[in-house]
Amino acid sequence: MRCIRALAFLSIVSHAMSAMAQTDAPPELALNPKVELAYGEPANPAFKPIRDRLVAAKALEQLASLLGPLDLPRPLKVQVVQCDAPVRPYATATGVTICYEQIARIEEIALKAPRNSAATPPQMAVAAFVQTLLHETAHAIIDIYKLPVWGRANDAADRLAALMMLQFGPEIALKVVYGAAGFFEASEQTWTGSDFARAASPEAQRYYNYLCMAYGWNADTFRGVVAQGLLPEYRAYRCANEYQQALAAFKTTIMPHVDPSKLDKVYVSIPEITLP
Amino acid sequence: MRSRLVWLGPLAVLAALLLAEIATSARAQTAVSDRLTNESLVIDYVEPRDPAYLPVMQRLKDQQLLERLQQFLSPVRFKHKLRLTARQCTLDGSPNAFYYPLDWQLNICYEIVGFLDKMTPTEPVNGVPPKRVIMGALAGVILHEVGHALFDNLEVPVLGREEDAADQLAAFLALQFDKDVATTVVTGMAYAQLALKNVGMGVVTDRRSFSDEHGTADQRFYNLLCIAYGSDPGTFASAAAPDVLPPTRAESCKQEYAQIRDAFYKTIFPYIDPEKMALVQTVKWLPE
Repeated sequence: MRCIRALAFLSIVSHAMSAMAQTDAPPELALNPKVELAYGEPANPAFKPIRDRLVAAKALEQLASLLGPLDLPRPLKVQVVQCDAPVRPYATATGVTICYEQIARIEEIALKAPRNSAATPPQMAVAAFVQTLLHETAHAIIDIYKLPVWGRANDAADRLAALMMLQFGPEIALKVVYGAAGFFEASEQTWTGSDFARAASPEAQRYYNYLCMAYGWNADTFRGVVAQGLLPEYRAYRCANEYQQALAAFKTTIMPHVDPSKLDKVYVSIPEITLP
Repeated sequence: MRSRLVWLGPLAVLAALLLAEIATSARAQTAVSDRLTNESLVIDYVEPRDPAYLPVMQRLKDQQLLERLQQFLSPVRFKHKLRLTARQCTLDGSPNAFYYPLDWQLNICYEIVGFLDKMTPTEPVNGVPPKRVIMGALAGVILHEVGHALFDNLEVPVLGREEDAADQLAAFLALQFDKDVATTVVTGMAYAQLALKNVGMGVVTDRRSFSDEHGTADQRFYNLLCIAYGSDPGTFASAAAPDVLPPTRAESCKQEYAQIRDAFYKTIFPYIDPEKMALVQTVKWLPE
């Protein structure tokens, strides 16, 4: 279990999930008061253990801590609920919602992932949850500040989520990026015909995008991305540019809404969990 | 960035546009073109190493492609010089156009011009005559590279994938002109995606195909149609036909176009001289 005080000058968007180690008592989380958190009571008893794990890990509180430095002009609701649907995308009226159904599916896919993946099933499940929460929160930030978005909106949200993952040191970056990438690989579907008309990108594309951002951030920490052939070299050599471009866009569009004095109060940790 | 295929690029359109007739009334045209100047833009037709491309160079010179592109871009208050260069780019003849950030250079390769000529359809596409389809395709290729050039030169924040962003800007620019130009360029760009797919570009052959920084040919095709449909569901109604954009995507296209328009006004419009832009919009960029 690992706790890291984030230096991240980026620290904006959210992070999630953690179980604080009893031996590694974290500081009081400095939550953004505009972020309204809720762990909904699921009607389906099968989701109860998921809720318990999230509460124990202070998953949403960590997101509220990550968003601590952000000057939000209005309240942002962030909740985990039973949706009676696979997902509930971010919307201005409803805020950020993660469905218990979504987490159950994440855990199911992670458990079936090939054993030779870069991450274990529990790591994958945690990372995929973090990725999902950050992605949805990125949509919220784009909406709240009416940010200009060039490129497809879902890819922009992924790049912002990747930036967040990479601001808390190599240990967290490695766990979350490889975990999320492993999850995308494990959840790949076959795309044909009009599937390509979707506004969302194929899982494999997202897999490569996250790895590219990570390699572009630090080619040494993520040398395995190329050394193990996870990302083709022709893409890899441009990843530093991709990362720098995303970072520059972040600084231009989001940093004006960040209170730099609160950045060192951000606290994030990635828990070890056991899947049933 | 862009050194990968033009196939992506909407630039061609622009080029064609630019090339095209600026004026029906020579005198009026001259008056307009005299005002569409910009000292940041430097043009150059580079002598090809392979003499087989000499006729292509001559044709582009005769059409004043770069001069027209220069005029088309003249409303932009560039932060740095931008070189607009027509040249032979490779020794193997592979078709391309690319923006090269290290020396602020937008390259239109003689190879791509010849390549597009060979792709000329035998029948009209979407009601657009064959030669105009290719004109639209070339304009699309050039506009795509213009997108990369503007993002770099003006330090535009790009949150999403730049290749998609360049496609979006190319389509958006084409859609700011009259219906004939918009339809010609969008059709040319869409045709180019499908034609290039037929020669294996942007095709998904295995998982690694998804590692490209460009979207697949199909994704780019659908993205383009969505932007066009979102901008004007009447003119581009055929994009939402049952066998084209699925209803689930079509219903979000208005919003997608609004996103691009918003991004344009927030990040690029501040660098545009409105008077010159109004002039540019009066010019007939595509020849009859």
